[in-house]
Amino acid sequence: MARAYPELIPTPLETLRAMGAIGAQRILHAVLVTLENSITGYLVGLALALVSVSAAYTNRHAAAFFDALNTLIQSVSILVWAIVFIMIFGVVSRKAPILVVAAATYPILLSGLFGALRALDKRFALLARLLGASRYEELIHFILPGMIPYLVAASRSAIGIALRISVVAEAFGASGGVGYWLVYSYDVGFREGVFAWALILVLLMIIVDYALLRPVERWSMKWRV
Amino acid sequence: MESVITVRNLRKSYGENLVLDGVNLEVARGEVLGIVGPNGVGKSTLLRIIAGVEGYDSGYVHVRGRVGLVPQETILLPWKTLRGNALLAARISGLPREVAEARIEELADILGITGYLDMHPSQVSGGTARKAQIMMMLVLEPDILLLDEPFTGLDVNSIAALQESILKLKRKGLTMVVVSHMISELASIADRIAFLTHRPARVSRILDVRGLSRGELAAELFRGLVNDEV
Repeated sequence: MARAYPELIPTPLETLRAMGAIGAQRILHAVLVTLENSITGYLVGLALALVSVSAAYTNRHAAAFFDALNTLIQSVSILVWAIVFIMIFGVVSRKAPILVVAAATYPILLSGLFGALRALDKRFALLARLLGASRYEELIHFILPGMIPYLVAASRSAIGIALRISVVAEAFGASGGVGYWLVYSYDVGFREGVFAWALILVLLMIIVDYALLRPVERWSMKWRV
Repeated sequence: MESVITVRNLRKSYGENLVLDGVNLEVARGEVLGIVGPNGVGKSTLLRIIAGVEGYDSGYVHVRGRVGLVPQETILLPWKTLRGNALLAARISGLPREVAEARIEELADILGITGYLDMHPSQVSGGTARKAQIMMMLVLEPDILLLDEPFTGLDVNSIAALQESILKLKRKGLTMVVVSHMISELASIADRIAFLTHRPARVSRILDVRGLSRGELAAELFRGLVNDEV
């Protein structure tokens, strides 16, 4: 590619030099901002998904409502969420990228949890009944812990998407983060910088996957029957 | 002897499918009643009705005291140890933790699983897991324990060990109803054996097996077979 388009695509060496020029401090700061946006957005999505699935488990009307809401949110493009939240909160606020990530991760997590509800061992509910557990105790001690492997699997996808979406949201309207610097590099014609930031994002995703998500997924396997 | 379980003219159907029709049964305090019958005849349904986790169409079911049902399939929470499973049962029943811990140690001793208490269900044999399930139900301090096919899937040694545990509980005065499709599994632990036969099921015969030798039991079974009672 670099040979075919030498004026557009930098060589790996040029990309690495650009990373050096950007500097470790700026890279670290941008990565931390992107991670913070991604993780906070994921946590907001997770909290909403857990509340939704708990309500769905205890009330069939709530189940129908959240099922429909899930379909609705999934049908709205991330681009629309990004524009709407930037219109509401502006480009300086960190709320826009966080909420865009939440909007992207919520349906993934909710679908995973709904799948878990369907796939979850029905015998756990029977055991809860045999022990005389209330509906609340059944949910807290039997159903939610049983969902953990499914939640971790869904979270692995959700966090991967959160990182990618966070970068898009930062590119659209933010004052920091990998996405912001990537677009800034493009705007000022720093093509090596564009590739350097793209490489940083890829490395970040690989590190998060191997250092965090895979070990957590392995740990969660003990929750499986 | 005082009856703690009374079942009269019990009728139960699933839609068009009539499963139990005119089942009559009495269980005395401290007695071990075996219920034997072919697979799918409705033994488990009868136990679930007695335990109050399943409804019925008509008839009369009266149970005096708390009932614990050990289901046919072992259901333990895989993310908890055997002790953790039993402690959760105790917590749900409102038993103070110190009392529950002492009771778990006592029950584990009776059931012979003390050395396995801190293991997870996936780390123990089927027989040990089955005993842990029984322990989980006994932590609730039931007056009556219902065991649904407790010997299914166990090897000969595990069956013998579980039978010994059931006999220990019997000596402590616990009332039990044990369901099985194999009369040989019940003969050594039960005081009486009820035969649930035909379809829809009814109790065709109740045999007092206390003091019966193997030969006498075989003769009784043969006589029942001739009379279409077993």
